[in-house]
Amino acid sequence: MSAHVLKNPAVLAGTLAVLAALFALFATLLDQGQLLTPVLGKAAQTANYLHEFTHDGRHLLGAPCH
Amino acid sequence: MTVPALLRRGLLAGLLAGLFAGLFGLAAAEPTIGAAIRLEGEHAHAHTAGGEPAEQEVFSRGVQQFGLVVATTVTGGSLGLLFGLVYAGVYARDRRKRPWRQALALAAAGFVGVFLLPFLKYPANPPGVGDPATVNQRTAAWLMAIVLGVLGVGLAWWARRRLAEQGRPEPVQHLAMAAIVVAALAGIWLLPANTDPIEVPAHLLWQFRLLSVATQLVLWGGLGAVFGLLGERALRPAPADGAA
Ligand SMILES: [Zn+2]
Repeated sequence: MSAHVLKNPAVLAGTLAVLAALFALFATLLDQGQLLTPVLGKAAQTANYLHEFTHDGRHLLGAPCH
Repeated sequence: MTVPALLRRGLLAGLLAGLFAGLFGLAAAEPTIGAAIRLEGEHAHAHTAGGEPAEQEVFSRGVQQFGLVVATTVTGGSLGLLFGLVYAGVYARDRRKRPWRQALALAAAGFVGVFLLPFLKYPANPPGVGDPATVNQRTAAWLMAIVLGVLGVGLAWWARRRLAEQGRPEPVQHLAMAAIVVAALAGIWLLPANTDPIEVPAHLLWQFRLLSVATQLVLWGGLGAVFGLLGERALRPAPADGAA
């Protein structure tokens, strides 16, 4: 994709929206410690903060859980 | 209607729908989730009797219940953004402008493709079901099921539109749609089965799965309804004295 195409406001907004949506969906439904590992190191994997915080929601929305 | 405007509408509708779904889950499903977690605790206790103490929880149940509402709201907002984008693509050339009907039709398609078809193969499980060792395989299979579900519903939608443009009668259009959705379901059925043992009572499992479907109905129904209402409102001519 060239920079020219991204200057189109519709294409730019759509691309940003898809990236933001996929990132947020990953964080709430799929993350197993990966997102916080750069900040917290190994503790992020063992404590699995995002997963534990959204645990009930993941189960109820049908996402695979532990 | 510009793409950024539809994205804003989708985000707002999705956040609201996700909040509704979370509040519904809090009121209707939390007792079932709590019961499953208590059983899970008893089960773990029975297995580690005399051994190590039970695992320390990272968050209290209260925080996790708040997390439920946050999770559904963020999920709703994300799905709303994608919804707005697909809406822009699907209805870009449509001059008839029936936002209420169009939003509800797209929300129904999203519910079936993103949730219902994958759910038929991999239904939601309450806490206490699921082997941590298999979570990556289960996640990959579930994502694959979503891809097939979305593909099937998208193809069905496209086929109906093509057949309508060719002037084919409605029964032909609808039967073609059904055939494509059934083919997608058959594809999902070929994915590997979830082999994790289920050790919660059948009535609790059934109740939880019904509540999972109901939560998704609130989410997608709310998304379609709010998006449609915002669209209807945008159609009305702006009042002369109204502030922008
Ligand atoms: Zn879990």
